Amino acid sequence: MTDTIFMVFAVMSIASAIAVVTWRNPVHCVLALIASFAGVAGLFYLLSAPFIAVMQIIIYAGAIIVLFLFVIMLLNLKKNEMGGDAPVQDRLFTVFLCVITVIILSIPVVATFTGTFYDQYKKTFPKPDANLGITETIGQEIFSAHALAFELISILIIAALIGAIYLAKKRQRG
Amino acid sequence: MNGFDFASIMAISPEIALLLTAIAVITADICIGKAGRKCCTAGAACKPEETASSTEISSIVMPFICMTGIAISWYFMYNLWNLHAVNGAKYFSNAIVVDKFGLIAGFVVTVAAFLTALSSTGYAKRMKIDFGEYYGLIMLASAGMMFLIKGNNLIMLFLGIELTSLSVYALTAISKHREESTEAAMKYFILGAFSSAILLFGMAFMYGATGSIEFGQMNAVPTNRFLYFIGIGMMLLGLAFKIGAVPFHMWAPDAYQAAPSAISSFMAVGVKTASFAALLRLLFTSLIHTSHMWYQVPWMLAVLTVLLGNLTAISQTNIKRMLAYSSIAHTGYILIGVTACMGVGYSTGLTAPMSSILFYLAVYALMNIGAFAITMHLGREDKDFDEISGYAGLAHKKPLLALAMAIFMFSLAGIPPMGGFMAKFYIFRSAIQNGYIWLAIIGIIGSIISVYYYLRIVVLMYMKPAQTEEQFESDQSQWGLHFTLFATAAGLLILGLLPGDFVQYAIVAVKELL
Repeated sequence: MTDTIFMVFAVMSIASAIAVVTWRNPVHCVLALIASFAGVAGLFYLLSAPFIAVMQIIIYAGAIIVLFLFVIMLLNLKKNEMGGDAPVQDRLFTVFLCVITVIILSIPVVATFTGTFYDQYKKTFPKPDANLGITETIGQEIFSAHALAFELISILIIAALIGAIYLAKKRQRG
Repeated sequence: MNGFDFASIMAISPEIALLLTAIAVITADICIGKAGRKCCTAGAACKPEETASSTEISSIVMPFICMTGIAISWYFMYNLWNLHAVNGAKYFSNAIVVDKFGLIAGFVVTVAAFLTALSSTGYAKRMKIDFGEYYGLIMLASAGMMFLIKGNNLIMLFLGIELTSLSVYALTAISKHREESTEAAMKYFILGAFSSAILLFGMAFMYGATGSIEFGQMNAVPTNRFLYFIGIGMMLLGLAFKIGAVPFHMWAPDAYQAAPSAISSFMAVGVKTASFAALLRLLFTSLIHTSHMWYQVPWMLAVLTVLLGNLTAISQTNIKRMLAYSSIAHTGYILIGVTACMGVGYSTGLTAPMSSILFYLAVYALMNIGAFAITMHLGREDKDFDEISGYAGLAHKKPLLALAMAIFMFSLAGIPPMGGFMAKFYIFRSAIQNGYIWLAIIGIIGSIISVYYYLRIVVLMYMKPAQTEEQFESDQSQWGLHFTLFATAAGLLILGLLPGDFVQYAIVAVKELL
């Protein structure tokens, strides 16, 4: 049963990720990106990390994608403004780079879960506590062990806000 | 110690002082600048003299708030330095470590911020960037650098880098009315965000391979070499971007040229010092036991960076761009020091190269800020004085300024008796002692190449006639810049002639790190 659900989510996230880079209409691409994020959220849930799954939906599929849509709609590009086809060698090079990246990133994943490494891995890292990924545990960790990091993130957001507001608003002096 | 008790708060008191200063300076801008802006937006009711006086006040008050805040943070750092019980202690569930290594690096960073604020007194107004946000972002960036230096786990490392970078992206674009500024900031932002993502990805792999994010705890021999290997690779890539090592240096020339000179020097000095301190802490507390996996990376980066930085700097006609490539080359010299840390005498010979890196960073801060301050001093309206050919004949019109520039150029080239010579001497000596003679030779070849483009400016200043009569006239009062130039030039001579004291402090500091 879990395997079936895993396959559904995995195929969903990969297929829609491919759609994001191949479809021509940017709005369709963004909608496909939502589907991809939803699939990833499902995968997180299967890995008993419900908190990250919900965050994936709220932050990525909710906030960031809506922002993408706004930007695309505000730009309001005509068909001929979207840029033509890239030269064939450029596209081939892109595909080549993608394949290389996938291979490099797959090696550790495959190596982790097959052969002798997997046995060693299971010994070193026993199966995590089932409560590890739930919101309660994460909340307690954030506000005790990582309290300083939590505060620092709020400062980081202030810095980003100050910079963004400064750059966006019109102001002259003197 | 986990909670927010008194000792923990004291451990981050310098950073808290800087953050409160950031808030204070932005508030001050709102309070003081209000009168001036209101009567300007009202248009008809505008009294020119009132506007002038109010902006005059705010352009003096804001840098002073910054300098006061930094002085307070120095006081806290001095307290921490003297508290022997504190040194090497960890706070906030081991997220922060207070040691003398971090305090010295933090001192260099805050000196850079102090000199930036000091030299901005008249400069920011002339460049039309004397807003509270300008000073506030400088303070936020320096607080980020301090957290980056003190961070003892991967989360703090990442947050420190991000706080620093976000502030610096915005500072690069601070001259909103100049298109090239915005363009360079955009490039820097996109590349920087990409490298941060790669760094974060690497951290995730590291956590997967070692099961810990804490610096001291990651040194168990990894069971999964593939994860570990890719994790290290991605983290080094992200950090190499931040220090501006070749081949991840493409952002630097554009960003340094387009940003106002005060920001260019702050960017070059502060970001480099903080990133190198974090890199050293990461490499030599957590990753050194697996150095057989990555020992090729620092020397390859060092060779590429020294040679490419110096060779590209030769052909520049813009002094800020030239200083950007020179800053890349100096990253290369420091990377030679990093490589020397992994030489044959690892257990015994690590103090010398690491203290020489700290010394180099301090000297580099002074000479780089000084050289950029000259371009600020001679600039007019909202431009920096950045054409190299424009420096012809400077010595006949402004002998003192030319003398200061000559000191900075000699120091950057590494000619005795300036600080730059001693810095390079210590780095190359430690490389030779730890068995990297050929690397030291490459560094010396790089220095010899660099003599050409540094001394070209000295030759232009002293041996060529001025192009026009009124070329070097600067109309506004620039006492802040005068003081900056004096302090940096004097500091370089002192560090060049009497380097012993600082080196002693650096050795004490490094011994504590290890």
